[in-house]
Amino acid sequence: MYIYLRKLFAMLATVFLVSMITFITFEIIPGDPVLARLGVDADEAQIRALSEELGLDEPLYKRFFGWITGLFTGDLGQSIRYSRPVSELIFDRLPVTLSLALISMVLIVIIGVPLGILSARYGDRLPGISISIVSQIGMAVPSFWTGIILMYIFGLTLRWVSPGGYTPWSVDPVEAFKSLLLPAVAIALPSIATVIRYTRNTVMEQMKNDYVRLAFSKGLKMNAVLFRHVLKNALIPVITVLGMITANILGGSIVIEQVFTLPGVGRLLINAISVRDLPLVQGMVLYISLVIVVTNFLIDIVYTLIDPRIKLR
Amino acid sequence: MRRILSILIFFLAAFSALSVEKIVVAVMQDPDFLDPHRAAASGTYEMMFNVFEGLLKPDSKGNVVPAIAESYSISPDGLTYTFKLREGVKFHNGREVTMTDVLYSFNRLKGSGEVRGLSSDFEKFVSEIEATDDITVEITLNTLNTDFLEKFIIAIIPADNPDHERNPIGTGPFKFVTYQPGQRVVIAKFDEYWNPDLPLVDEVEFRIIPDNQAALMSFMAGEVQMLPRLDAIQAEILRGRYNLISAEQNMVQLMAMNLAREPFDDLKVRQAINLAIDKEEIIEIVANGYGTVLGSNMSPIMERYYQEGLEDYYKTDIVAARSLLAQAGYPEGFKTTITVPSNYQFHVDTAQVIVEQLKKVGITAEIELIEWSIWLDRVYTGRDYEMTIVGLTGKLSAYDILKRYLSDYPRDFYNYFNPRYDELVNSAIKQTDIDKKAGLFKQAQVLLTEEAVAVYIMDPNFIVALASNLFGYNVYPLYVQDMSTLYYK
Repeated sequence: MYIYLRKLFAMLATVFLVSMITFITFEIIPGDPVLARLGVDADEAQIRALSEELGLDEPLYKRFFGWITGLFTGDLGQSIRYSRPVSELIFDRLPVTLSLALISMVLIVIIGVPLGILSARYGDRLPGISISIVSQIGMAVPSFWTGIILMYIFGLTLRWVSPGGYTPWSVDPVEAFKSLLLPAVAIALPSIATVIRYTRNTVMEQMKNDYVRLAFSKGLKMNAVLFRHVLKNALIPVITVLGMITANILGGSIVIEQVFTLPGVGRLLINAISVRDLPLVQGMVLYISLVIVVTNFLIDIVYTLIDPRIKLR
Repeated sequence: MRRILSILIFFLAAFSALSVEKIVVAVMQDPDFLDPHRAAASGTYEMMFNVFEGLLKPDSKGNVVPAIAESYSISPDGLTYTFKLREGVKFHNGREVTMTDVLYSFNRLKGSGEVRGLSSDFEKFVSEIEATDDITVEITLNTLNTDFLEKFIIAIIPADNPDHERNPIGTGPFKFVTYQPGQRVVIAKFDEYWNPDLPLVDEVEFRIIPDNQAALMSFMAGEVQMLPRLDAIQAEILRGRYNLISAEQNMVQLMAMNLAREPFDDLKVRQAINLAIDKEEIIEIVANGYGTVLGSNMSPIMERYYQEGLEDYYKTDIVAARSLLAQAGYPEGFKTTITVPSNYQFHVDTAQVIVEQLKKVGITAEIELIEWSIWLDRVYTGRDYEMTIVGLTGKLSAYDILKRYLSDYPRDFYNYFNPRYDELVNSAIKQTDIDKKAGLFKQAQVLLTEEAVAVYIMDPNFIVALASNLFGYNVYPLYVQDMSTLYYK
């Protein structure tokens, strides 16, 4: 129990620090949210009305503590750019980002890990080398480019999906899956390559250990050694990488969302920063830090499941 | 039997759902405000033009025509505007427009008592708003402003709507349905529109696609039926395969030089820069030829007020430019910075061409790319820059275009202070004689050119791509998309 309390405290401290840094950063960087919203054609009267409404002339610490107090009552404040509650804006975007993350994680795990093992198994033979080369390419190609190419092939040429048309799950689940599959593939490809290389390296690393030699000398076959002994030990670092990838995708895949015109959290964050919408950025930062803290916690738990010697401390 | 019937009903329903005629339009950005009195951005007006109407509304020729008002008259002294309301104009909530709504809207703009207004023009010029009977309203100005008529295109909104931002209600041909930030604005046909012939389609979705490339793909895949504001490359890709419409758009793309900074405080330097820049070349390279050379801060589409001939005032002449620079004390040229908002690729490309052109007269210009919000803060409001490139969207009123150079204009980012100019523009709006008024506005344009306040580059063409079965598009000299006349064939 104590351990959970400590984790919770660490989480709160992280979130507090990150929020404070965001507040201060926004104070330092140039750009005015009122002007950013209204643009070059703004009338002085309109600028005055919006400035008064937002109360941005209050000192920084007051606004920061106002925000913190709001947090405890579950109020993330009002977005400057969209005149809507920050929580509403973020929750609207979550289904897209969560489903993107889910689909791409499934792809990454079911493709990346087996191929990595395969590549280690046939390290210096043709399958190993070819997987290695392909994964090298996968890591080098930027995902936005993959995105554009996928869209060109499946959207424009084959017409399997319609580019720029996102359908929510609630409207039509099949269409929703179709509109999310390509972006998920684009997100997954570079990560699949990373996971392949990682799995391959750790598996090969483990193969050098004494217990492997012992297993072989007991007369075990390659596959038995690999799946019964090596894999358990090799998976720990792979899980760490998978955790980092998950947190990354949940934080929003800005470029992919832009290319596929998906209403995910990444585009929301970029918009919020570019128009200096501090309350919205604060809300997003809170969300992202929560995602990271929670994912790390979950990874810790998975460690203990794989290797009982590891204990949460 | 019942089963067959229900299946039949299902198919009928499905069929009627299919037969909803819908146009998806790609737009670059979110609206700033849905509340029409608080909205300032051209990109918002572009969409909400279809939802809101004023007593008057602009037509595609750039004139204002009666809308909620049936007719209007202006008193001989030019100070009092009298409007008669059209009978039976309804708001989207089905209620008829009454005098209460008209007075409410104008008072909201002008401000009343403690509450400040939302339009500085109404605050500054309007002295009295009075209903003489149920259908007649008189608006009296405190000082003559013959460009004020155009102001009455501002939306009339219902006095009893508690939230104009979340639930905007107007009288236009389309009613507001939904706005999902970062995704779409949807509007639908208003069945009780006062002009029974319009609109022709059932629904319009403005889909927010900030990425150019993604918008183009969506259009080519048929997901989007109308793609406005194409750039030259996109137009080239679509040419021949789709219906493209191209026209002047009443925009002024210019390069401002900070007149409060050395060396731009020297007229000779500004003239030299004007002589060094080859606008034809810029149009050729950046806009693929789709643009009109400008000579001052006015597009030729503003026929009545446009001063001809200024576009040739500075013919590209490297020798003359060099000698002017030498006279100004810069025989070797100088180093400077062109600050450009990075989200406008068009201006960034223009800056790159200008850098090359300025090299020929010895001026080394460096491009500084900054975020739009920083540009607004530092350049536009803070006037902290050396040179910058921006496009200013057109207005119906020549005064609204030229007032940006007035000494007391709060966003005179050129730092141009010339009493003679102020005099010309301010006295133009006191002229009831249209020719004399046009004459004064023209003189003001000449002054801007002679003083080389900026380099007036071009009015880039507006190019829109339409699905091949979509017709009825009207080009406006304003930043709007009139969806009411579009139809499928």
